[in-house]
Amino acid sequence: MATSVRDEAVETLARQAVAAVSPAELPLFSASVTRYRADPQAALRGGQAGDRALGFGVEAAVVLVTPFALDLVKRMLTRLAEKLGDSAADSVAGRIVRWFSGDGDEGGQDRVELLTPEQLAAVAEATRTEAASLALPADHSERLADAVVAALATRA
Amino acid sequence: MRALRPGALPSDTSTRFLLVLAAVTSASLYLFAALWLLFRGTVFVDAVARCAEVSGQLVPELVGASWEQLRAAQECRSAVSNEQAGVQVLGVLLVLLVGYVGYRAWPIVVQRRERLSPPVPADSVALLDEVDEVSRAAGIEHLPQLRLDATNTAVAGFAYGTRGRPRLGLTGGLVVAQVLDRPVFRAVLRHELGHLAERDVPWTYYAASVWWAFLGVAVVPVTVLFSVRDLDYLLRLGWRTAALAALVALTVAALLRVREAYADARAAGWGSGPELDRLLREAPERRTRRPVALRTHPTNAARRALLANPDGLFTASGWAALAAGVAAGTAQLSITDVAALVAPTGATGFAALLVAPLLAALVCVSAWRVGLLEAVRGRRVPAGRRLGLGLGLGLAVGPVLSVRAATGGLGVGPGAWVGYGQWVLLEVAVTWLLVAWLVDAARLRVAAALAEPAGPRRALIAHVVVASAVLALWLATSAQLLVAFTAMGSAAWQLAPVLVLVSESALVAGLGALPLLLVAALLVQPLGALRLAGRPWQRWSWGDARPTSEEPGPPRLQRPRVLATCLVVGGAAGLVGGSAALGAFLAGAGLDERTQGSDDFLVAVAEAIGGGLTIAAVGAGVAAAIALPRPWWPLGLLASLAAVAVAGVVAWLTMTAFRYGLVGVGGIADRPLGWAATRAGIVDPALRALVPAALATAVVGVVRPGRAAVTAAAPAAPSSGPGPARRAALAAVGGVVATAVLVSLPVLAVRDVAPLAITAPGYSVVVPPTWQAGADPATGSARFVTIAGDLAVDIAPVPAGAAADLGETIAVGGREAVLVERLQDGAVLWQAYRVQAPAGSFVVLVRGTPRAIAQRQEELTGLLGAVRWTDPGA
Repeated sequence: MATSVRDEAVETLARQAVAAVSPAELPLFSASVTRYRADPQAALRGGQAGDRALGFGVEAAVVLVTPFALDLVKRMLTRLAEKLGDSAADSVAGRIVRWFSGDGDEGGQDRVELLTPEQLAAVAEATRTEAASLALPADHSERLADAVVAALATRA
Repeated sequence: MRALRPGALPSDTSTRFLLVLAAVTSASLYLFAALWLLFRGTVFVDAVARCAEVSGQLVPELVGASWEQLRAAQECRSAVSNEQAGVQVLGVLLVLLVGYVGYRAWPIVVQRRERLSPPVPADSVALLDEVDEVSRAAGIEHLPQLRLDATNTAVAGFAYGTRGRPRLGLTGGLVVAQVLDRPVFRAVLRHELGHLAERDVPWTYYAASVWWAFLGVAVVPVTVLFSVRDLDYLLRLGWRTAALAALVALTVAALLRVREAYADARAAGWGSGPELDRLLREAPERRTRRPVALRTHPTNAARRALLANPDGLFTASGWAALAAGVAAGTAQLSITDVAALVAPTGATGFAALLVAPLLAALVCVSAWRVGLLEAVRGRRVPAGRRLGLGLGLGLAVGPVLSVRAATGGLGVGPGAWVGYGQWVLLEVAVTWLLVAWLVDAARLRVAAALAEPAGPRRALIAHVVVASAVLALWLATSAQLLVAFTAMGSAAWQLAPVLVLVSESALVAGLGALPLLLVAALLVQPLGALRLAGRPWQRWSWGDARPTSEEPGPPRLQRPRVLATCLVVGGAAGLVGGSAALGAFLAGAGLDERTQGSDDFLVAVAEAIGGGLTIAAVGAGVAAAIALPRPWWPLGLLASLAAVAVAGVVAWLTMTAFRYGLVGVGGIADRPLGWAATRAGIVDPALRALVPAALATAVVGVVRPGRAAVTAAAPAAPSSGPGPARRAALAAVGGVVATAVLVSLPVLAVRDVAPLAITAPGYSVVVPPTWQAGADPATGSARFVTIAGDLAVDIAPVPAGAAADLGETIAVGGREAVLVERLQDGAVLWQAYRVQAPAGSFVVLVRGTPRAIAQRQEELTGLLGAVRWTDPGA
């Protein structure tokens, strides 16, 4: 399935956030992306241990942030597109992808061009706004938003 | 207290899975027969009509259904029967094949339904390495592939896949635990690896897959087609199929619950017991709407209890035995019916041979686990009653739930149900007795096997083999009895001659080695145990816990005083029995000069010796069974053997003395008894005496009170049961009572022989139950039936132009019977009478010595008086 540059950016930036907030989830990241793409709402709902044959499970108070990280970045880019226009959002997404995939280091020019302080501020605002509406405990939402912003800020 | 290792002995769950599969697949035999009849019913009806005509022409005046007639009809219908059987067998193969395809495809379905993804190696190096390391340490043969339920927050795992390609599903919460709480991750992982090690995956998914295949390939087509064509049949079939579905669902759920406990035990054995216990303690009980009986997991509390003490995995469940009995009962009937289409005479035995090993494995494995627990803990577990009662009731209920019953194959009307009720009593009682014997044998043998350095495998296999043979014999017999009882109905006294039927019919049917087989079956386990009694135990049964200084020393199997007990009891019984019988004979008929030297005299002597041997064998076996410590009771048969040996020697010496004229009046020969006469007069009766002796010993050994623990393990173990003096008194009384009952029962049974029915299209003749079909040794005729081995009756049409000039007339059943033929074969006489019946005349052939025939003529009158003549034209 072909993925858009925004999808790639979502995955790239979410991975950075998860690595910062909950690195134990990294082995799950690719599988979570697949699951999120197939059915975002189901991915966000999580699941139950159920009564599977030959299974062992307990309902535990584990919080998996990966689907929410994906959702947060996706929402942030959508909000950015609404605010700055689709082409600007796609441009930011493309730069995020290139930057975190390592292409941005070449020549040193993209380093400056990733996000301007204004853009970063807009992204931070959009991220924190969207994070507040995530179905996560408040501290988790805040940490996730901080991680997304920090990932961009430390690169910018 | 050290924990037992649950894997020390095999579990019975694999056998129970097989029984469920057998029940499901065999039920489809009937459904495919129904489908075949739907499309080929006309051909079937035509064949039946044509073949009835052919067989009717063969013996037009015959009232009863002769074997030749049945055979002729069978041969005539063979093409149609083979086609029907072929469709049924192909149908079953189709169900199994579709089930197999479903089993192979199931992992793909699971992955799509649960949206599982494989882990990306670059992200999951630590996870994959950990799973690999734990799996190898656990000795898992085929390393599992991982699939992730990535967004599931539960801490859970589950095993699926196929044999040789196992897979583990891990939730996101569990994967995170690999970093955050590694002991918990390892505990869940080891539990799932426990399922792989126990081979639960192929059993579970293949059983489920075959069930769905059965529904899709057999039930749905039959339901659709018959809902239009025959709604009544569909209803009769429907509730039975629903009952079968309930049985399968309940059994599989129960099996899965047990398997969870075994997987927990495996994980605990690999070092994750405390973490599992913590998880189960802290986690809330699963919320599910399923009834308790249909849940696939035990409660957390139950699992924790079994983790703390696995003794609960060494008990036996009566419910499990009930379900297994129902499955075996339905499967046996279905297999019998389809096999009968191809080979009518061997069908019952064939089905019994297929089903019996499964039941034997189930009973023996359960009994061995119980025996291990009893031996180690030094206390009794009431397993025999639960297992025997459950299995007996299950085998009794099976026929009602079978599809044969839906087609009226168990008889119709209230009479059939009365007969079925009597059969149920018999089925439950005999099965209970057999299982109780197997459990007692297991108690002994497992306690002895603890001294085997190589473990219990060989002894357990030997036990299953012996149990299979005995159970096959009983299953075949009970299947024939079911037909007879449901056909005859309400004669309550049918139960009386059962012992004779079981023992004598096998003897006269050519199973001359049956007594020896019976004795060997009873003795093999206790003799094997005797060899190892008193030796120190091995450690194959213990858990990882090390013994502490406070723990008592390892228990050992107590060695009873078998030889002394059996020789004393057997020798005394042999002397008393043999001398009393011969003395009674010599004091009476033996001294009658008029009969000495004649055939009648020899017959009377043989009967007296037979009676004496039986008295001696039964009395000795019963007395020794009571005198020995409880589980050793089968060795009481050694006393029976000693008794018949002593009584036989007494008889031989007495007869030889009589022939020389040392006893009685005058000698009849100046030489000892020859081998032929010794065999006919002493050896054969001795073998025959072992049958009632084995039965009596088994009954008394199983039902007698007394302590069950076979070891001197626990110092605190209560010593229950009677003391030596009371046991000796019990032995004496028991020996006398059992001998009286066992000796008198066959006599009563033969005198009050009950009529059973053999039905065939167009004919119905009722014959006594002890009559057996077989070849006539004198004429080669196949239409030969015999009573108790010395009286034969052959029902056959009168040959055209048969001479009636011998002319002797007797009254048979209120009818006139004319002697038409007499043959002399050595001391045996054959006399043929022509009997007039409403539908024509036929011949009754009587075999025996002249004196026996004279005696039997009166009995014959009584017997044939009990025959219910049916006029096919009426």
